[in-house]
Amino acid sequence: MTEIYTVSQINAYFKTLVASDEILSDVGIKGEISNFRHHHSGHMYFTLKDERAVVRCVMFSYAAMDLEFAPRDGMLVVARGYMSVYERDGQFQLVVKDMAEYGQGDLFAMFQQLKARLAEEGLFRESHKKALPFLPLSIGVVTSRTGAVINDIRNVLDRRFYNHRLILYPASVQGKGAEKEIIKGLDYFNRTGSVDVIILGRGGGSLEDLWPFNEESLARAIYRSGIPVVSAVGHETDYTISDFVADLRAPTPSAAAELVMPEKSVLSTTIRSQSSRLSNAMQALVRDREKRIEGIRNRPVFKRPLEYVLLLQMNLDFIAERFRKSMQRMAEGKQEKLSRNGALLEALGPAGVLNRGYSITYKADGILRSIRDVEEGDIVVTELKDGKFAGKVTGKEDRNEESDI
Amino acid sequence: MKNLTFDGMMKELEEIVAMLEAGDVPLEKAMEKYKEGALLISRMDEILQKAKKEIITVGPDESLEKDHEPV
Repeated sequence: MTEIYTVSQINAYFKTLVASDEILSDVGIKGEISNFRHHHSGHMYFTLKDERAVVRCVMFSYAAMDLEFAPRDGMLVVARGYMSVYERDGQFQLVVKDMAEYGQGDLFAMFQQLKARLAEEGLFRESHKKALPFLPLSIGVVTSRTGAVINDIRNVLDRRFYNHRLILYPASVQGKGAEKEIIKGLDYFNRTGSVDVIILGRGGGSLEDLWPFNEESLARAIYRSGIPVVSAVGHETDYTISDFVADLRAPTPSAAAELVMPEKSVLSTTIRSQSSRLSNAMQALVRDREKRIEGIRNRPVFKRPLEYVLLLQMNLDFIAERFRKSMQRMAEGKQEKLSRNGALLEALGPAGVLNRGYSITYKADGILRSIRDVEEGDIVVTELKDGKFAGKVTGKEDRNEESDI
Repeated sequence: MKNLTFDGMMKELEEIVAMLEAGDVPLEKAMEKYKEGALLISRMDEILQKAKKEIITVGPDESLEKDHEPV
C-alpha cells in the first residue's frame, strides 16, 4: 500500500532528492535569457530557454555583482550553479553562481566569414538582383503561421491593395533545421509559379535566433529563386546573409509589404487623370483641325475658284508686262531722250512752224504779231513754207475792242 | 500591345497622351492612338477591379487551405 504524504513532505523530499544529485549540484546550462528582471535588491530573476523547454533561474546580488556583461532577453548564455527546489511552491530553479555569454564571438565570426566567402562568389551582386514586379497581385510569404510577421504583412497589404492574393507557406523561423523549411517554401513557390513575389520574414531576436537566415543553403536557395525575394528578417539594425542575397531587403515585415505593393487609390487616380488628358488632347486636336479647315474653306479660292484663277492669271500678265516694259524702257531710255529733245527743238523753231501749215506775215518793220501792228491800206508780205506773196490790207477786225466792251 | 505589364501599360499610355498633347500628329494617326489609349485605360481598370481577394495557407502536403474572409 502506498503511503500518503502531505504536500510539505513531498516538496521537502523533492528538495532533498535534487540537492543530493551530483549533476544538479554543479551544473552548467546553456540557454537563451528571457523574462529577465533585475530587482532593486540586486537579485536577478529570469528563465533560460531552448526550443522546447524553460527553466527558472535566480542570480543573487552577491554573484550578479561580478558579472562582466549586462544580461538581456534574447542573449545566449551559459549559466553555472546548482539546482534548488523552493519548497513552498515545489518549483525548482537554477541558482546561478556564474554566467557568461555563449559563443556570441564564435557565431559572429562565422557570420563574417560566410558573408565574405559568399560575397566573393558573387551571390550578393547587384546585377543578379531582379526588379520587383510593379503590381504583384499574388504574393507569397514564408514565415511562421501565426504571429506579428504575417499579421503585419496582411494588414499593410489589405490597406494598400485589398483585392490581392496572399499565399502563406508556414515555416519555422528559428531553431536547428528551420532553414530547410524556409527553403521548401521558396522551392514550392518557384515550382508552382503561383506568386509574383516572395517575402521572407521573421521578427527580432538574437544572432542564434536569426541563424537560419545565415545558413548557406538558404542563401543559395534565395539566389536561384526565379521569383523575386524580399528579405525582412529581424529588427532594422539586424543584417543576415538572406538580406544580402535577396533581391530587396526590408527593415521590417510591414516595410516589406509597403515596398512590394503600390496603393490602389493612387493607381486609380493616375488612370483617371490620364483619361482626362487623353480626351482633352483629342478634343483640342479635332477643334484645331476644324478651325484650319474652316479658314481654308472661306478663302476666295474655294468660294469662286475660277474667278480666283483668272484673277491670278491677270495679275501675272500685268506684272509680266510691266516688267517687260520697264526693261525695254531702261534699254531704250537713253536714246529716246536724245532724239525726242531734238525733234522738239525743231518743231518749236520757225521752220517747224511753217512746216506745220502756219504762215508768217510781216511789214517792213517786222513780223505782225498783233492786229494793232497793221492798218488798212498797208502793204504786207506773207511767207508760206515754200514761197511768199505781197498784198494790201483791205480791212481789219480787232478782237481786243470787242472784249473792251 | 498584348502581354504588357501593368506599369508597361502606364508608360505606353503616358507616351500616347504626350503625343496627342504635343499636337503635331495627323488626324488619322491621332484617332488611332486615341483608341489605343482608351483600350489601355479599360484594361488597366479591369485589372484593378477584377483582381480577387484571397488568403491561402499551404498545408503540410501542399494542399491549399483557403481563408474565408468577409469581402
